[in-house]
Amino acid sequence: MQSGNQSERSDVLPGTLQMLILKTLTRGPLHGYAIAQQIKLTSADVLQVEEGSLYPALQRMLLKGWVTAKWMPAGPKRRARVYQLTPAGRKQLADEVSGFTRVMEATLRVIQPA
Amino acid sequence: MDWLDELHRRLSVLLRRNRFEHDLEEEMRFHLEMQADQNQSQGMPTQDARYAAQRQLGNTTLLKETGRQVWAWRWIEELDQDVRYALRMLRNNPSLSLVIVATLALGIGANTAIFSAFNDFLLRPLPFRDPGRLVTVTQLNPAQPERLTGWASPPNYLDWKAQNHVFEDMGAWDISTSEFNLTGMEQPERISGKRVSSSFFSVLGISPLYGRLFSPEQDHRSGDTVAVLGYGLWQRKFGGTTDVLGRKVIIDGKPFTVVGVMPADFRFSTPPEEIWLPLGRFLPGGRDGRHLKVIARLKPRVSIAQAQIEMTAIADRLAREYPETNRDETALVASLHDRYTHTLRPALVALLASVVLVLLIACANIAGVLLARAAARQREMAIRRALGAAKERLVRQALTESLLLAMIGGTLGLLLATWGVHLLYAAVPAAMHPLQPAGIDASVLSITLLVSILTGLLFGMAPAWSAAGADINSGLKPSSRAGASRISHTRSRSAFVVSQVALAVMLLIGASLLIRSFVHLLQVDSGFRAENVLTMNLSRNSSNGANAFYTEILQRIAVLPGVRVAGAANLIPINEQSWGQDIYIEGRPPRAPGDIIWAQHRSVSLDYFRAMGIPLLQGRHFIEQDLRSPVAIINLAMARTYWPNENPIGKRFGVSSKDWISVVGVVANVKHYGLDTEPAPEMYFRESMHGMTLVVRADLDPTSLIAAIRDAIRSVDRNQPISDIRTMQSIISESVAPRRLTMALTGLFAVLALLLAVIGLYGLVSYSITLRRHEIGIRLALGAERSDILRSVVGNGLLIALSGVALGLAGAWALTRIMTRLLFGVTSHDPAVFVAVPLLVAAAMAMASYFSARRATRIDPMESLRHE
Repeated sequence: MQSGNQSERSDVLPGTLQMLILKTLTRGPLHGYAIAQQIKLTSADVLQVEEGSLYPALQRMLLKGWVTAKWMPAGPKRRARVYQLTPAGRKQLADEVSGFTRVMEATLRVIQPA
Repeated sequence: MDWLDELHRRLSVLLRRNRFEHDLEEEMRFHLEMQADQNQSQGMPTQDARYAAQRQLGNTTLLKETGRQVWAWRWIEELDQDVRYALRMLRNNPSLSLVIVATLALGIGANTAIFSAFNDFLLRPLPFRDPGRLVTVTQLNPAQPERLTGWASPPNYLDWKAQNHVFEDMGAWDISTSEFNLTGMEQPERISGKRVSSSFFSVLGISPLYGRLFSPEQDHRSGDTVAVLGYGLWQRKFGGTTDVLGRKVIIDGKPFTVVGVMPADFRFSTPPEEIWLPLGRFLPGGRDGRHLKVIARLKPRVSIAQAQIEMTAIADRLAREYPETNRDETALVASLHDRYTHTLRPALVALLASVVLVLLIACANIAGVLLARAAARQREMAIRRALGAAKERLVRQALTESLLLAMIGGTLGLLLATWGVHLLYAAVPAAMHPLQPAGIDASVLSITLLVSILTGLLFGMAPAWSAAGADINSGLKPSSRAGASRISHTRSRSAFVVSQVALAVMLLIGASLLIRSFVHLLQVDSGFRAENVLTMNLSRNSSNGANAFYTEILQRIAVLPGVRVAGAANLIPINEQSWGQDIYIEGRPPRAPGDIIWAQHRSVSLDYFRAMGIPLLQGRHFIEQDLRSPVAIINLAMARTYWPNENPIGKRFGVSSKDWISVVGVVANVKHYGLDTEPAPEMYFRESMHGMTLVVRADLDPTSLIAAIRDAIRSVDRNQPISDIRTMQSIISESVAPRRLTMALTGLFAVLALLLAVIGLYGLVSYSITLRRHEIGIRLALGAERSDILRSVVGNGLLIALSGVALGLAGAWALTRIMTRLLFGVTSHDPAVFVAVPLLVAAAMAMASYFSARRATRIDPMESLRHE
């Protein structure tokens, strides 16, 4: 890890990686590396995806049927495994977002002075 | 269903596991390459870029493992590994595996076969509606021998039925007729059947396949001539056509109208009844005529104990009301299930116990063998633990191996058992078969599975723990021998052999007691001579003219070539049926309360005693003039009971209200109810009942005379049905068949047990020699005598064997008491058996350790020292 930027960067909150991946995939099919890059980009480099946990998370989502995967050509003699959101995945995302928002708002209410 | 979809995805990935691995691998490689490219484009050198990418992603092997875990196959994979490994181990040592599997197949197979018989006879609920609430109610006099009472008189039955509040309903059948003549069809036939009350079927909860059953009015109306056919008779005689309803059948010479047909699976006895007639005229009757068996259905939530209290109260009331007939009578309520199980229960329990013991011994044997192998594999285990294998993992692997062996053994055992059950039932007379012989059914299968698993765990536990307990340190040292763990192996093997020998001693003692009982039984003086005697049942439709008929056919049979003498009796040995009557003796005061003065009534022809070979002890045989004159021949038991120390000849006694009857002769006691029973007082009269059994003594093999005898009978009456043609010897043989089977099987199991114990000890001794090879070599080199070494090795083996024998003796002493009901003529602590069996086992064990130990003396000291 680049220790220099430690203060500006954070690991994703526990339990939210799945939601971030699902959200990222709403823009269209992406491969694993691109998902990690996207999250970093969209969060303006604040959120650092622990890449190690990305792939097991994707496996879990495959198992749950929230995403499907297929191989697509990616440049010469290379192919990438591209993940696509399923309707079940969209529903799961909506559930997780609403749950997360509720918790977030409640947390903010507590920590911000009225 | 989400979880179903999920399971489907899991399975489809599981089935394409190679592709899954490959995908994961390629995906991560792609990631690494992309990251490396990016790093490179930011100016990193190629190599560093790649390392950085790798660092950022983490341990790819671990990631793949985590990915795999998501799909939860780790345990499947490990199981797969364990099974493969176990199979490899089994293949590596085929002869050992074969011996283990064969032992298990025999052990589990025998258990399955015996258990399925046990299940058929004792466990399966009766095939009637809600069978748990069905009971029998018997009228009995506690002072009389069990078998001579137990039937209810019709008025008592009607009073019970009317006065009780514990039964939904009561039904009855008449025990005096269980066979009927069926004529009017091509072949006259004797068929089994019952006269039953109308409530009999409703108590059981059975409805007819076609037509109707009997109505309550028919219980009291005499001359009601309707009949219900059993399914078998309907198929056999009427081709299973439905227009049988309304047709006439001739039963005992009278026409009956068929009103119904019973369903195919309905059976109340074995073999099943073929015809059902209404009780009708039998219901009104005297309180002294006891010929009804009574069944009843308990009301819901009424227990047998509650019903018993009520029935005792009713019986007491009846005893006060009718002291003449009911004085000492009570009513006993018992589960209907007992009717089918009480005779065979002790034998089946003994058999099941012995077969379980054999399996335990087999387990001990296999455990011993596997322990020895575990000792040999200690290095391997130590290496694997040093390489990081978890202890639990090694235990699981060893257990997988044992379970695999047990499963293979169990499967083969099941195959053996299907065959064994068949043999078992073939060896038992048909009349003793269970109501529904299902053989191996789902419950037997699950028990077999359970037994296989338990067996595997049982013999696998010790080797598994010893595998896991391998001490890495000493296990890896090349020269470690006779280490602590090996000694502990030997110790647990010794414990196995001790318990094996103990169990074998117990089984052998049990089996020897049974064998001695059987020998005693066969040596019993039956009171008659069974050789070359043929018997057959005949029945006339009424007693009218019966005497003339039987006299005529006996005369014709007597002159047939090859026939020595021909006679007839209403009841011949060996038969459960009896007909007891109260008697009074001339010159004695009338019966005091509680006195039982009675005798069995038997009707015989002129030459019956000579035909059956019953010796006349005193007085004379019957003569032609005795017919209808008041004379009787009595048995020795009756003479001793009622005229002790007196000459009974010429003494007189009375039966009911007839004239005085004079005793003209005394014959030997006959074991009428079975070889293992005590004789009752018996009086023989020269008379003919409508149903008689012919007894023909031949010069040679009597079965060759069957055709000639049948012709002789048919020449008198061509419509006369003949049934149950059997030799006296086969009757005896059938009567002891359950004992013989129990004895033979227990004997077989005991021999197997001894064999297994011998093998166990042999193996232990030879293993101990292998361990002591080095030491023995040194001793020999130092000048020890080979005979000394032999003595020490044999001595060790014998010490183990003798501890087992002592333990087994103690166990047998404590346990044989439970088999008292199976014994005859020996006590459960028969001294001969308790001395001979331990000696035999000790001798066998001495031989086993001697032959095994002889190997020790052949050790070449030079070789054994160089070896290490």
